[in-house]
Amino acid sequence: MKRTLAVIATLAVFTPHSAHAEETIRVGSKNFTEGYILGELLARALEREGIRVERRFGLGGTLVCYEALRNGEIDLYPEYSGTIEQAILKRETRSSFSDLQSVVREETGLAFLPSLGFDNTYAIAVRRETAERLSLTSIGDLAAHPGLAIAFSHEFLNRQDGWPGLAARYGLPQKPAGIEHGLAYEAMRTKNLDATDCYSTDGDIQKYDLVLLADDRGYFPEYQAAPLVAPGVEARVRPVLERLAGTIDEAAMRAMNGKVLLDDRTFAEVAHEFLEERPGGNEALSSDRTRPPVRESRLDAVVRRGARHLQLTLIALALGILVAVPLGVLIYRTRALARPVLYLAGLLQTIPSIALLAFMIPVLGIGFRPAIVALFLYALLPILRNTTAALLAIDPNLKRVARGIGLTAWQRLRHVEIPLAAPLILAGIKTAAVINIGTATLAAFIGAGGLGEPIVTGLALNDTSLILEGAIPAALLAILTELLFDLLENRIVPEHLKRDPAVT
Amino acid sequence: MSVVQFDSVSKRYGREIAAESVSLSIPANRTTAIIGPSGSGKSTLLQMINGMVRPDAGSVRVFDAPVDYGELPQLRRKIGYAVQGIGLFPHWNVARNIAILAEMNGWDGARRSARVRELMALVELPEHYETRHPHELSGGEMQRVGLCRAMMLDPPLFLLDEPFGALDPLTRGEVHREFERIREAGRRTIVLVTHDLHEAQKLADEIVVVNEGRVEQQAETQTILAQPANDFVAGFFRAYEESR
Ligand SMILES: Nc1ncnc2c1ncn2[C@@H]1O[C@H](COP(=O)(O)OP(=O)(O)O)[C@@H](O)[C@H]1O
Ligand SMILES: [Mg+2]
Repeated sequence: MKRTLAVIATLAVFTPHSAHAEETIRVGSKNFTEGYILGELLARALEREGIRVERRFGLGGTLVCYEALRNGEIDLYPEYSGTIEQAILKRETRSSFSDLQSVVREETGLAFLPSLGFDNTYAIAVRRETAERLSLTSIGDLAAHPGLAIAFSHEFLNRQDGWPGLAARYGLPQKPAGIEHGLAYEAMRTKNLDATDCYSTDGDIQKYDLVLLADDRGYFPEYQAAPLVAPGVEARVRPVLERLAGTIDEAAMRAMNGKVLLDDRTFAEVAHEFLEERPGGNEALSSDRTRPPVRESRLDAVVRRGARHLQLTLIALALGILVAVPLGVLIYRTRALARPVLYLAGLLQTIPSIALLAFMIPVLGIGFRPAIVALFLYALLPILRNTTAALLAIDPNLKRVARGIGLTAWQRLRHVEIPLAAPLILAGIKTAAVINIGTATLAAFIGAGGLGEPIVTGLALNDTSLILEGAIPAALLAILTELLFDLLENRIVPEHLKRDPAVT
Repeated sequence: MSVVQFDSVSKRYGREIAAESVSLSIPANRTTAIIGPSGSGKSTLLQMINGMVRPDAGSVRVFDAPVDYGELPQLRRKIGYAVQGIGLFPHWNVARNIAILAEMNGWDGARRSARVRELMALVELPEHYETRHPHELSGGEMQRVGLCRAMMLDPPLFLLDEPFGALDPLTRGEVHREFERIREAGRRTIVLVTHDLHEAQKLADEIVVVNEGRVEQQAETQTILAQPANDFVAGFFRAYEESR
């Protein structure tokens, strides 16, 4: 009997289907408040059904998320219908949600599940007092009040599908000013501003007691939120996630955003509470899976991320040294290579880090590996350039003598040229290390972790203390690295070279 | 018997003529000075002997064989080489600077340091200088270390390119005396490039006068001074006397 059970168990483990069923679902999210909350919500909903989930949150925008999904780096993430239509499919026309679902299926093979229930589109927010005094309920009502103080974010003011189109559609006469979005709410609080643009689920709407005007002429495109799912996992996740369809309305989403932004709650806590309070949310599930999230202590988090950060930096730096120093020597020995190689390395350096990371995704996916590769590429130039420059700068008389007394090319390199170039090479390595520590903070955008994590989240939450939680340790790490290299320099650079480089 | 033979050797740098049909033979176990105005091609001639410069035409024979450009380090280890800039390796102390070639040739430590001490004594460098670095030496001391390095493997041929050029007159006098001592310490072939006629006269058995890449005259030191072969040589000597 026992034997039979063991055989069955073994078969079960090794049956491909059951192995597949055991596979972890990787849930992604974009790097802004609502993205995190929805990601956490989807993840927790799956976990409640006993599905193992890996979180890959805070990915750097639509492109990164979408490419990660296409390349099988994540299995699903929350996306908006308007974003899919315009940014991913690049369609001019607007289609209904159900049409869009079929188009997504046809063109990408992905499944866009039913809407979670809210539309996070552009909206015009007015102070409640102003709205009530002038009986403003829809955007068109603004036309009768040309004297209202209105200011829009610069982006909204200038986008063709922002203010210019809106003014034309509703015949609005105002000449709004441009304002930084964060400041607009403050200006409304101090009654210096009557109306501004916002997203319909902004957590700030409640805080500042604002009223959203109805877009009754359907000017703004719809941004219905729903999970975008890879076909391979659709069968497993659809039944679970479909139960969330239509459960979050705009007010509920605003409230959740507000809890994170204003009440300092974590994404996990907010998502957990939503699932618990949902009708039937706490039924029939083991307490184990519904346990509320535990907050990691600040110090633990810093240490964990710092270690990851160092790991990223050091591996990339080591690879950079292994490649760039020999390459620098090669360039020095075969001058013909110098221009093209240094030019190429320089070109790599000018690619903005976030773009370089995005280019990596189709090839290497997201996470640790592409981050290492990107950091490695950034480390190349300083080391390469310093190695070559240092070798070229060695006193020509010294090189002539080394040749003339009968040292072989290898002996000259090994005993004379490299040792004399070592201080400058080390300086190049130091530069690369410091650059890497800085750039590694961006690795969080592609889910590689590190000290960039709280920075990315902090930017999403507009939470300075969270940003500092990543930025300060990163800065300290950079300073520490400088110091360590200075110590190393003191040890390996011989006295005479420090004192007077002109003596030969 | 000759150690070095040039046979119709020419070398140009672009339009600049550094050597033009030079045929020349350098006698064994003697000191030959190559003199001439600056830019006349003295260093070029010297560097063709150890293969640092490869002629465009003609052939150079050293130790009775044509220079093998594929095996230059072997040839060069049989040729001591010292230049005006000295070129001591700044990251090594005196002992290692002197002993580098022996180290590369696999001599053991004891043999190396014995030889280093012997050479330092020969040029009158105090023994404790072994651990000094080049930046802790005076010009004259550096020059002596450079000579020791050239002598380390006891090569049969020396090429010296204005090795005393940068020294002040007093120090130069001292180094000259040491040079004489080195010369007497063993029979060697020395080729000394200098633009200083006085130095050539004092140190060389034979003098080669070059001008614009051509050999104007080659003769015993006494002979050449008494009987300049042409107007250029006579003029060169006269100009030198007048400038003193
Ligand atoms: N590497 C070189 N490249 C170009 N021209 C050179 C080079 N070496 C020497 N020359 C030229 O060749 C001529 C002879 O130079 P050199 O042998 O150094 O003269 P000297 O040692 O007598 O001063 C000079 O006109 C010099 O400018
Ligand atoms: Mg010269």
